[in-house]
Amino acid sequence: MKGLARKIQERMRDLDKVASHRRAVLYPAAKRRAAMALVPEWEELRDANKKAKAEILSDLDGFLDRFQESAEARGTTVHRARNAAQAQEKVLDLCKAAGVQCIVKSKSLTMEECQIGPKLEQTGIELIDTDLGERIVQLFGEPPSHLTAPAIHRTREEIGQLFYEHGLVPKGETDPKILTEAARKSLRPYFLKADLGMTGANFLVASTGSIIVVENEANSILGTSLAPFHIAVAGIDKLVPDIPSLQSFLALLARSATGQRLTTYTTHYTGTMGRPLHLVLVDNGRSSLRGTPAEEALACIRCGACLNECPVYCRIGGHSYDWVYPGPIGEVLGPALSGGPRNELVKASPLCQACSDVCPVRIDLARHIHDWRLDLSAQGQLKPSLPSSLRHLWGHPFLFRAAGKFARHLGPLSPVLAGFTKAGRAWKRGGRNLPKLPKKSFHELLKARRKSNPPQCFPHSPIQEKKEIAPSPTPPNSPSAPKHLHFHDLRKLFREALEEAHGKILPLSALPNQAMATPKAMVIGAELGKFWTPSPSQPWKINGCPLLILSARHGIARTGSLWVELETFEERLALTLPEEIILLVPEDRILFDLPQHAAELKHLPPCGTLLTGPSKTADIELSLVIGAHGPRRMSVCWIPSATSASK
Amino acid sequence: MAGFDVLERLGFSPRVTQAHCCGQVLSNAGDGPGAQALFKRWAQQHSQDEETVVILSASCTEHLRNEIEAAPKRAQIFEFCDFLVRFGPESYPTAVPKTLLLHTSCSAQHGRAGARTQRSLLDRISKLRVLEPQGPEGECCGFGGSFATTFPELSGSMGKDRIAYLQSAIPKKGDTPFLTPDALVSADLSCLLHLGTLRSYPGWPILHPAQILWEALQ
Repeated sequence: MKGLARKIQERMRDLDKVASHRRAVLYPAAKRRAAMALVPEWEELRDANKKAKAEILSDLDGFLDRFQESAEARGTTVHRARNAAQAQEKVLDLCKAAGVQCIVKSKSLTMEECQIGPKLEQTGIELIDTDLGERIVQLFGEPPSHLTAPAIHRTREEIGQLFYEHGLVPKGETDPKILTEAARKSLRPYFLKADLGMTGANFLVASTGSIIVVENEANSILGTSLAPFHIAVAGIDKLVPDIPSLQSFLALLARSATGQRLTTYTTHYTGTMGRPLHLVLVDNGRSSLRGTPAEEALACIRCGACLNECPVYCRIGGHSYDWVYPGPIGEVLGPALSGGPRNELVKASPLCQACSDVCPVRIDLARHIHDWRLDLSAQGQLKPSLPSSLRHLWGHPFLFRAAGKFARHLGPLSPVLAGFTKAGRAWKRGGRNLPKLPKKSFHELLKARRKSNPPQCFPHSPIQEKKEIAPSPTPPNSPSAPKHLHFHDLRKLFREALEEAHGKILPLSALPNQAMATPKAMVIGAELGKFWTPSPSQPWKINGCPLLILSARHGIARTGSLWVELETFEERLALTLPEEIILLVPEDRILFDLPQHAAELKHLPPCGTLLTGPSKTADIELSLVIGAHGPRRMSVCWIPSATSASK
Repeated sequence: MAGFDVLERLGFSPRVTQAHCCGQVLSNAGDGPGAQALFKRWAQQHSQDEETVVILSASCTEHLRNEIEAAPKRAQIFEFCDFLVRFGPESYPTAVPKTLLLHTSCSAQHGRAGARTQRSLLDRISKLRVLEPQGPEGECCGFGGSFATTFPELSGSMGKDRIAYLQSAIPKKGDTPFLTPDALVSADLSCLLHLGTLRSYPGWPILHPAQILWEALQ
């Protein structure tokens, strides 16, 4: 492996590439800021997240057991893997036992970390990445370069050329919309053919045994719903205590990553629905962090905000870090989970603290990077980044002053001479001149001043410290809902949020009468007005479900989301396969925000999702394309409630 | 020097200690024992209980606050601008009709040492115009102590982008009011040392807020 410094030096030769990567990465950073401005309780949510993760880490084994117990009570089979090799073996055994030949896989950093994919492919299993960004890097034969935007380092031209070489588009095609559509078409046959759907997990809820997967494209839920078998792979650090504490994480995850209020699908897999569901829980060095100061890095929810803010990451790109977790979080996890060559990563930071400021779990990343430098150097595993001669000079005030005096004595000659030292040469390599020295040092000036003029006082009596300006009172909408909001207000809020997520509100009159007759309508037809209700025995046609109408339990005004409970695989497919979906919600079932939604979730169905708009992706140069693997249009229709209808 | 003069003029009777570096440079470079030795030396020189410590650098202040474990002592350490915003006068006698370009360092922006106090302090001086860039591109200038020599090209590129960011605050020809900065000012001179040595540096004179205050106290 090349040294990090060499790699960065080479990377910085192509300044156009550096600049375009920086521009790309600053885009989600700006979106995050805009989203943050709309959440006055942002800091309280960070505190809540930090607290919940601290609770987990204080009794990780207890929570793991609790999770396993709740998950197994609902039929999920939980496996534990101590390291990457065990995780590979476990997944491979499960695949062999089920005779798996083709896998559709959605994004999973833990799988990437444990190199499970390559292991499976070695045994002849076909493994297809279905997330657009992941598919792009898979076809390029390279690892992802960002936690949430795997192909952010590739331009649309490069992707167009790649797709052309794979026969997906004509030569010269660069439109992200057309490229996304080509990927959708080319991946559909794999969804149909696959005998295993693999996912990661964003959260594991200890109290309910739920596996939470968030996504925008619908590839994950589509994969797990079409294939007869689902394996999820997750690190043990994904635990959260319960459904109420999950909400503050959800509130910040998507906002921190892409500026969305929520991702399109936040799917809760709580147990099986007649098909096997296995979860492989991976440690792989995580528990070695426990009890150390860097333990709080286990609270990371992989939103990627620290990458987007990092002045180093945005220039050098994810591949320079040479492992699955780049950027500031990678620098903190590197020495802990990997060690060896990754120890060097802790040098790749000016310790500017931009990362610590944005972390939605309030991990003080810069502090941990700094601490690692000290710890690793003390253990002899890292060379301090200043040569020992300079450190001696700096560390001895007498020597330092003498050297300073000598250098000042040399006058304009000293920067010239310094230019020949190693540090001086490095300084000049950055496009900089060596600084000129002042004629006299501060202490010399002070001495001279004392002799010449005695101090004169400006008539001013030091004032007492003023009270800090009181922080603005806690906004009324946190954490509980404002009481004064009428359902008309909630509807208005809902509409704004939904439209931001590219969904729309449909007037009741636009709905055909039949849709109203079925309380939980499952209606699919060639066109509006022509209905049939699918049954489990009915063969599903993968292309040709133009419209689906489905009812949701409740809506969430602040995020524009709907809670949809999916009791059968047919319902799961119905939500993801059609070109267009319409959701019906009783108009008095609009809740204000995620905490109110959590309070409504008394019993979780085996599968439920928070749906926010139509499926979408922005994996090609971060330009948004509506309609990735799932519906291209999504609308919501308010149904008069029984109470208001009787008035 | 101006920092000392300003404090003296305002009647705080400052004392300059013979302390050397706070240890931040060595600590950031990963030299723990070297940094500890310097910090201990610093702590010995600043052990008088009743004294308040005023430091002319936000990043040093932050480092010391992290190093010092005892809470009462920690609360006695202030960055220069932070100190004067809290304890200094509300206004200064002399107007300073200058236009300054303001660089906010990472420690002042992200850290706890003196968040955004340099701007509040400068705003107390009449006729002073402060140009401050806005927007998300306000990243680290790329100095970062030994970071600057470990990854020189990267550090230099960050410096160049920081200069471009600062320039974005200067009105273009034809804008009203049309202002050109008389100087670049910052409470963290290490950033300006870095920016000032860049070959692409536009040559603005470099000042510490203390130097402006000194003019305002004439």
